[in-house]
Amino acid sequence: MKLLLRELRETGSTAIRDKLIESHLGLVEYLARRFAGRGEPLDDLIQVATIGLVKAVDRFDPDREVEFSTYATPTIVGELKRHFRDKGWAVRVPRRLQELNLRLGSVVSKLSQDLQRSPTIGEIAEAATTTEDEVLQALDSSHA
Amino acid sequence: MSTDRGVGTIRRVSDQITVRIPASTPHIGLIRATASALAALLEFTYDQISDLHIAIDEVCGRILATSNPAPRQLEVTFRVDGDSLSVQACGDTPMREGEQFFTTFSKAILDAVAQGMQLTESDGVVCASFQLVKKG
Repeated sequence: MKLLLRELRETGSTAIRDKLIESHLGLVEYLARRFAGRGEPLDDLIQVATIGLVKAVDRFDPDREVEFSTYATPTIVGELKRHFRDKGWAVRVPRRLQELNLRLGSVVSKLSQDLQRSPTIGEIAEAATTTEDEVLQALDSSHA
Repeated sequence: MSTDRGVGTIRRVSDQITVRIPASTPHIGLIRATASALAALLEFTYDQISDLHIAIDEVCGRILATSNPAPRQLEVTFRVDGDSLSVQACGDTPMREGEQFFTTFSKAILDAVAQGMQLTESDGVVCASFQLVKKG
């Protein structure tokens, strides 16, 4: 598996990328099923989880000393959780926090690209011109 | 709300913090909130705080799912040691006989997001603990 991932990194071959994605669709379905029964159709969850898998395939560094499935699992779960955060709102979250959360999503993406790492809460608050408490509230509500 | 909550200024939080909540899913949000506030003080990244939330959900969820009789309370203790945050979650009733605390799923999740996952049992009460170490 790591050989394929290394080959993908070196060649950028779409055929290898497809093969890697297809060979992990079982993991995708397994994780998606864990989030079923929360008001979202399983097919949608599988699609969301597949996006997480694609991101994991594209981001995985074959030199890391972890198995790909270990790396991919939290990426896929994170994508599923984000889906519920953005669409599901399992509990009632104030509109102010919903809006802040949506805004923070793009702030976090941009900062992650700029910094080449995940940002801290302080960095997110500064970039979003809000307070750290607000960022934490939004983060907590997104995982409610 | 103050903008100066000490984030980034506290390098070493030596206190041990214990939160005790009624053992029900909605209250686990209080544990997540405490965890993220502490992790932010330690300048953990957004991704790590998300990992912390996932680990807490999974561990607390497994205690609720595997205890018999159902626990009345969950006690979660946070300890900070340098750049590492240790979390220990305990119910107050024993694990159901023949029950496996970790499922394949929970093991995969916890191995991926946290380190040093441990299960201890004392006086019939199960405690699960793990660590997260600040990156970078």
